[in-house]
Amino acid sequence: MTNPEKIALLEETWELDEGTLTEDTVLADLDEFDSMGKLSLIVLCDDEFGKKLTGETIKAFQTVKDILDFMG
Amino acid sequence: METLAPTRIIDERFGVNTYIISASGHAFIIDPVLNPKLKESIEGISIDFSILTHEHYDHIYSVNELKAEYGIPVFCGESAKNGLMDPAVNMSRYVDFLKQYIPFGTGEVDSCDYSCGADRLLKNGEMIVWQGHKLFIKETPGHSKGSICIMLNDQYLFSGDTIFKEYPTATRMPGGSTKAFKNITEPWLDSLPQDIMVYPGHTEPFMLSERYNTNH
Repeated sequence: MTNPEKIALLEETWELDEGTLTEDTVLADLDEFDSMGKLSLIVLCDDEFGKKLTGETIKAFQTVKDILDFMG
Repeated sequence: METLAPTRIIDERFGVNTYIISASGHAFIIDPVLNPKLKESIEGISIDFSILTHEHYDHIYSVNELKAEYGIPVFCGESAKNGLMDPAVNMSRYVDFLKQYIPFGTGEVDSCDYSCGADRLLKNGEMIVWQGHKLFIKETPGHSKGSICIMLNDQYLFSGDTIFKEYPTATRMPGGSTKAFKNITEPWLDSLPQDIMVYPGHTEPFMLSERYNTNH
């Protein structure tokens, strides 16, 4: 999956308008990256990419690119 | 027609409300969570079926036990079918994370991979006639994809986690949809008589007009 496709998935998961996110978007600036947003991300990574996200890993994410890199 | 009074049994673990509706020596159950209180309440009663308001683990985690011990058929909305079977969708896999944020119950449940099945899938708009009473099934997406509300005799609304009095609807959980809630569920709720009683999946019953409404 390409990075734009992963970003589209993130936007859909967080109910954001298309084009809201870029690789450089800072997660701390996103209202959607709250507890429910993090849970949705955990499920997305598990379901779509077969990757288990831990709380520690989430804490280390700074930007959208960090998430894309984790997705692989 | 005889007046029905739902019996509410609260399961402390997630604060889930189970309702028993009885008529003419028969009964059905909504969101059956087996605990000593429920077992005592259904002793000697013929339970015809149970209905799940949605696919989340806190509302379904007794389904397998209920079927094995009591042989009670389980119904759910068509759109909840996959969630019942998928631990990632029914959230059983993420309970340890999720329970930090659930404002109900003691949270004395741990993550696991739980799945179960339904014996019958209810269609949107379906009417079930039971013991001379009418149960109207309405898909109410928003909190989850498979959420339904059950209207009994145009009198009682069993809403699962679709609406509460003191809390906004959690539409941002995985499988939830703020858009579906606003476009499908809220207009339907607005179209109902506002003086009907709502029996939610957690917390106290209330009148529909009292529901938490972000538009108001």
